[in-house]
Amino acid sequence: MGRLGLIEKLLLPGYGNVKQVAWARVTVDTMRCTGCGVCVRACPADSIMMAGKKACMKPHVGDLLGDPGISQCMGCGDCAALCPSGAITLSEPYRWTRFFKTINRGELVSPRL
Amino acid sequence: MNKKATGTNLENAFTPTEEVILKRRSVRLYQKKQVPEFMVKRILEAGRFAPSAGNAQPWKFVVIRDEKIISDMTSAVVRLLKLFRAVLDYRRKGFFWLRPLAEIFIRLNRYELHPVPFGAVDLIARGKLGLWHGAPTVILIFKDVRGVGNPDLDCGIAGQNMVLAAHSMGLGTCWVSFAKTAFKYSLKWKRKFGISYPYRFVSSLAVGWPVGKPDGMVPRETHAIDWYENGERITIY
Repeated sequence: MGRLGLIEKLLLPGYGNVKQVAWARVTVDTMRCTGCGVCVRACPADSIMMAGKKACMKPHVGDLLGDPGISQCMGCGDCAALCPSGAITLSEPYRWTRFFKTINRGELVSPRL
Repeated sequence: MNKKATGTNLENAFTPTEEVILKRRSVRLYQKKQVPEFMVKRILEAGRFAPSAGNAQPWKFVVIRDEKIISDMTSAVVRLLKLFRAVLDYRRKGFFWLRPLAEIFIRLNRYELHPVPFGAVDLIARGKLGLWHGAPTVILIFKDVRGVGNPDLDCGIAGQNMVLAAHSMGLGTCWVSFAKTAFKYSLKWKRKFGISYPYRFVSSLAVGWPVGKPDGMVPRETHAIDWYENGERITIY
């Protein structure tokens, strides 16, 4: 977010736009999830919840139990790193929209040698 | 790149330092157990030996290991963030009329009011996210504004040195800049820590024992890198 032109300033994203607020999708492998809930406690964005006895991401749309902060996932990967059974994967992080179009990024890659 | 056989196994394995860097995750769930004093002192030593512009060392560290100060500061920040949320969050039911006002504020202060940090403002104000996530030790980093060039950057380098030192000992850390509100919008905490010119708050570190094992390698997106060699430019990812 460096220097912005006038038009870009006018088009700054607001908080109502889920694409700007939720930056990644958390997928839980329900076969491997043991329901320990450590991801729910660790999630800094409050975007994972327990559904039944399995963890899942809070839905992207809708007012969940009067909770305005729906899925504010920032793709930090804490849940994936913390999960003892390796059931969590992150996908489609940073769905860049107009505002971030100048940032040139590639695919998700693990550390390379 | 020409790969030379160096006689070591550098090409087949990460060095211990690289492993600490690559495995470092921001820890947001801590045990209540206090960190041993010698470890915190070693972490501060790592910060002391960080590089800085002109060797100005324009930083000041404040270590807080007092539960009461941490909880008081947290509640002060929560109060301020509740105020921000009341003025800025138009997503709540019946608050659509706040939108024009909030959008003006976002344009005036677009770095701090970006949607993603604002998500955390909302969570902290609702008590769903602790300020320092319950870490027993907090290191506040202040810059000396008289430092050479860019003191913020020097404080960042020193802070990352400390973070990597902590992770190499098995501790967990998280960068927390929300404490800035306590220093920016109220005098109480400035007075309490004796912060005045030339010092200014930059960021803070939560340090503690993580719950479980959050340190690990996770995939991350690649960035375009321009590479100039042999008179041509290529872009690698």
